[in-house]
Amino acid sequence: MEKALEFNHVSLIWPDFKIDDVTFSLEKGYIMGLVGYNGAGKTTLFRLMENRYRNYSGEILVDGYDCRTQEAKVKNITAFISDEQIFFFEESIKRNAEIYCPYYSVWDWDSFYKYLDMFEISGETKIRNLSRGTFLKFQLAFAVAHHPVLYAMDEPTAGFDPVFRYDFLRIIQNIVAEENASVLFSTHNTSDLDKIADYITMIDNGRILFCKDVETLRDEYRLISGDNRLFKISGLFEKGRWNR
Amino acid sequence: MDLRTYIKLDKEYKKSLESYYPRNLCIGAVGMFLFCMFVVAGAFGLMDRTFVFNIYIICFIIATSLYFWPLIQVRENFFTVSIFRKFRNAPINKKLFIRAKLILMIRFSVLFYIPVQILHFIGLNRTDTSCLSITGFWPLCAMVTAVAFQLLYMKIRVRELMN
Repeated sequence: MEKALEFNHVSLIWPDFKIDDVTFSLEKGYIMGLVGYNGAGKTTLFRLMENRYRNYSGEILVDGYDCRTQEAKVKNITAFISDEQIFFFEESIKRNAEIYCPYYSVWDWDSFYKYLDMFEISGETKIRNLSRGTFLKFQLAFAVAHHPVLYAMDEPTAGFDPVFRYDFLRIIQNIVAEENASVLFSTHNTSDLDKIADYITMIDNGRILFCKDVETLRDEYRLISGDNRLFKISGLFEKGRWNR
Repeated sequence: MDLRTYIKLDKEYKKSLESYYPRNLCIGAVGMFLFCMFVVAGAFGLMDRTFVFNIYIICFIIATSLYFWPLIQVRENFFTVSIFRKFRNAPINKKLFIRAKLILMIRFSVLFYIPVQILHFIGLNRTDTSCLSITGFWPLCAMVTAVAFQLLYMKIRVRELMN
């Protein structure tokens, strides 16, 4: 299977934090959820893909292109979606697309307008007038227009209500099905993972704890809820740790 | 994409900006006015003083910035934001992207300098200015200083693309 994203033994050391030998990969056409506590290193992994930190060891490949040495090629086939304001605030949606589109090797105006229509966003609206949710949808329309291989989304659904999250995840699923693209998204919300993720990668303190497909995880782990006394009686729960 | 394409895109971008930094336009216009005033003042022999030369340089910098600043920063609410930050995730060749802006900057400064220098000489030839050889090249000094200043400013802004 062709790989959309590969992290090969990536390490980055700072005085107060380190990314420690991160290795995982994502095949084309699949969705991977990246989970972990605040400060576990999720955003750092996205920033490494964006080539904002270069002094790391190992390699990060997107569709076979090295993020460090072939940055322009990587950004041509990757859609980075986050809250960061990288668009022109005072310009309209259409004007923003016009400014950026010449830099992409592929740009599909039909897809762009199709998704804008689907999201009921006017091309004449200025970016600064968009709500957070609409801005996120605009970013998706923009991303689809250049047909990326990989969608990298850093906590896209954080702070949104469940209805919006459900709609958004459904859209992501449709895009993956239509475009045969891959999605790497970080989240704190495990119900999001349940709904769309094919793989789940857990990171803690800069280290990958596991990277498994959802079915395997379901086989290996069970969620049991109930009173602590029942667990003590059954011997399942001792000294605050799970005991299988 | 080659350097020529980057330059073309930069020029198109600037032409089509709706929010073409109006505050900068005003400052630039005032700068232009003052600059012209000092060219005329030079023609009447009022320019062979250091403080006048300093003002002269500032005016030149402001006037040339009128063209250059929108290429490296945009207005967002009350702040100006580096354009390089806006292109952080775009598939650009960073070196060519920066070089295109440098070429446009130097080209405009030189184009701005030539008529000013001609006017300056014409003006000086009509007066009895004692320091003709020095004051005659004030526009050239001003241009070099303006380019150096803009280069420094751009270097600061470019960090947002490289980091």
